[in-house]
Amino acid sequence: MVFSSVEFLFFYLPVVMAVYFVLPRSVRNFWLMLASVVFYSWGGWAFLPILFVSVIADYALGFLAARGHTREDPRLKRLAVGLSVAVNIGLLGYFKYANFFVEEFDAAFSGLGIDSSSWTRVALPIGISFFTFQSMSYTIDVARGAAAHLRSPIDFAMYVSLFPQLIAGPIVRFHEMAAEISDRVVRREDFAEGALRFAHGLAKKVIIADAVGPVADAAFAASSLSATEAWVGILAYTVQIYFDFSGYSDMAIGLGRMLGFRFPENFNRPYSAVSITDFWRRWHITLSNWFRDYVYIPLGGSQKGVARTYSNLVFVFLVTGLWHGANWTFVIWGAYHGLLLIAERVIGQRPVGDGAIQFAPLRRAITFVLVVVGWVLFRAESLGAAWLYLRSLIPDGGFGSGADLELSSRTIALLAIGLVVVLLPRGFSGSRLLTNYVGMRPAAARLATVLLLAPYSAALVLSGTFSPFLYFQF
Amino acid sequence: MRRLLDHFSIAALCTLFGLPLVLILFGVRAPGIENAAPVSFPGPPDRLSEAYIADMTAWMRERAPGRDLAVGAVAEVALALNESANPVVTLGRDGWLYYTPTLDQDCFDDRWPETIASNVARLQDAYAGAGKRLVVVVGPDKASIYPEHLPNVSSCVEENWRRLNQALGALERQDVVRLWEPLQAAATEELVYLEADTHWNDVGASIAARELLETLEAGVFGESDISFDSVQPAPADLRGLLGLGSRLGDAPLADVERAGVSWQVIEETHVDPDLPKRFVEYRATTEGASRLIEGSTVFLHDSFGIDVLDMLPPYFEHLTAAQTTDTEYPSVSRAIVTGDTVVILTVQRKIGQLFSSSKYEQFLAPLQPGG
Repeated sequence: MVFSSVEFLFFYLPVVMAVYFVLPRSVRNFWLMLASVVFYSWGGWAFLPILFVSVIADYALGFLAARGHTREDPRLKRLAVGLSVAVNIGLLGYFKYANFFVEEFDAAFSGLGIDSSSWTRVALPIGISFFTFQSMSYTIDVARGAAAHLRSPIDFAMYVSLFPQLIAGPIVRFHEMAAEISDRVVRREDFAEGALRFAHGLAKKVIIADAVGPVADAAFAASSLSATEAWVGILAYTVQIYFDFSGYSDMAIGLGRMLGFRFPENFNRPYSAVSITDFWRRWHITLSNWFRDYVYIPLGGSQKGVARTYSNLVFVFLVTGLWHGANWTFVIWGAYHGLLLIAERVIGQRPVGDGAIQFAPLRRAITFVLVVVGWVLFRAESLGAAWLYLRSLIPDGGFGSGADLELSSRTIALLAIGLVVVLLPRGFSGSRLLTNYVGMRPAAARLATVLLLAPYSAALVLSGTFSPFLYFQF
Repeated sequence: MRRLLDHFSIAALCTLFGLPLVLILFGVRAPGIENAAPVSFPGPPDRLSEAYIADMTAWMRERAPGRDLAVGAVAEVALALNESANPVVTLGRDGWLYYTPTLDQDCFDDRWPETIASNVARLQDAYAGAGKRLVVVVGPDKASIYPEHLPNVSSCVEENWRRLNQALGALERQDVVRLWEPLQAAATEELVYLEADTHWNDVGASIAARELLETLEAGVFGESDISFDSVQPAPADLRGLLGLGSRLGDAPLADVERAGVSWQVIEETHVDPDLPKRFVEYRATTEGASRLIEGSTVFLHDSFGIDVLDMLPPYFEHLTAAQTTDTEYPSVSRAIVTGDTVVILTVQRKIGQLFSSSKYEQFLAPLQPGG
């Protein structure tokens, strides 16, 4: 089930919320767990056992990790963390990457005249990249003593499967919400701000991302493309991926807030970044933090010399790339970002602090172009297609022209609105505008969300399945 | 103020997302707005399965109260932005709507119109050889008669109909009825197509009926037979495709009256039990001076023939009409075998499907022994 669907918005959500607030606090976690199982099953009934395996394994390993922490036994802690990583990365490796590696091996060995394996393709369970990381973070945090382990299996199952962030994040590390699992209150302001944040995210997704998406799809599917068309296509994708993903995160954070959880922010105007380092502090923040805390720093981070820092960066970004999908395009995209980060360090670009930034507009523009070019690797079906698209971004480097990008006055306007967001001042935040009560502007923004954006978004979702046909006789 | 805003936000958003469920519990369902039977509630499951979840999802999506309003609102917003909410509908000028596939035509290949024409002629010869008469009536697409309301789209519509009309005219056969000229002539004086529908109105349909009847038997049709004294809600299938309702304003309603002629439906069934395509048999008798077209006539038509058919029964001794040109249906095939005259009415856009390459041979099948 996805948030921007009729079944979620108009059936699942009202029932879950109504029952949640009617129930006594002692059984709310059970209700959320049950509701989350239904949420997950709706999209992939057959994948439920995989979620259960991750939950059961880390629940049990949490006890081991807690014992290791209490006894200050590093071997026990390593054993718990090692087993958790083995189980979760094992699940992730098999269900997300097995097809990819088998196909690559087959391709490599077929060149040597060896027959391909009789491999049956594995279906990708929904949200596996998110819930395995979340589940692992529990065992790691307990082993580190960052949070106490959970005695109730229901509480733990609720933490891993909690529907707002189950299938697309934010990836909430256990210590960030440990306290709220057992004790949380929902104040009127929390519910109102959560609902507004949810409506805001829904609007970003269905009004902008869904409208400009077909432009990007058409550009990447085109058999001929001029440089202008290629730039329009990739800018459309730049807008689409941001509004889609950050919109979904807004919805998740809003839902969490309505239920009494404060999930971490996942985006902070990433296209206003003045360096790639800055970009990764603003884009998919929870994933960056996860890799920083659980991979980069344990590898030594930047504390073991320049060479080790660079190799750590490349490794973390190769893994980050691979985390996004089983395709060489994602690996190369990760490597591209890793190398850009190293390049920034080599030329001595300091991480951005709170002070004034020299040449900020120029640095923003360069960073933006580098990020946009990177999206070609991220979006393309294959490295060959990415190369062809990258070439077409250069004037006279295109492969023909006349692609039908399905541009209409509405998509052009929405694309422009999306791009204007990129140009807004670095400190601007739409969600802060909604929630901070200063003067009349937030009131206007709230009313616009409640009276215009939310109803129009709801209408778009409701009408999304309208598909009449012109009479039987035609 | 903050408190008030919070309460208002919560109330408004809870109403927006919660009201449909409350209405469902009170038995309210969104009306079916597609031209298909609405999805029915899947009921309690025998066992939970992905198929059951898919059925339930389909029901929720189609029957959520307010869906019809939402579809209309989204279409209105799109219209306000001069954009079509459904790619199969093209917005024309002055509120006119066109069916996009009629505009998205490739220009004909060099010999294509001549191939169509020669296949029509070959088919007519084969029918004549079997002792039957075959009349082919070709109705123009709306864009061919009203190109002045088309948006600025590059289209081969005009060129295509001109070449097809020429090729069919070059056959010099009476039994090939081309409706472009009479409809264009009438269009200079009155509306012959519907602004928000793919089809002609009753005036246009009456011109088609008149041309057909005069072709079958000169003098059988009298101008005073048809009157337009009343109006009906105008069909608007293209607005329906946008989700804005399938009626818009009024359109003239044709009334056919022939002195001394009475007629009745002998049998009315569906060509296919799963499809609402009608198969109707009529018989007419005359007691006055009005003549009837003798023998058994079979009228095979597409949606353009529906309104034409409404005007035909008082002119035929025995008329069998099927809302399909597919001879695979046994009822259609049988009607052709027993008919003395077969009329095929098709719109310009569909003629390629009927008479190009070997497809036209489907009409020969019923003439074969045992066909």
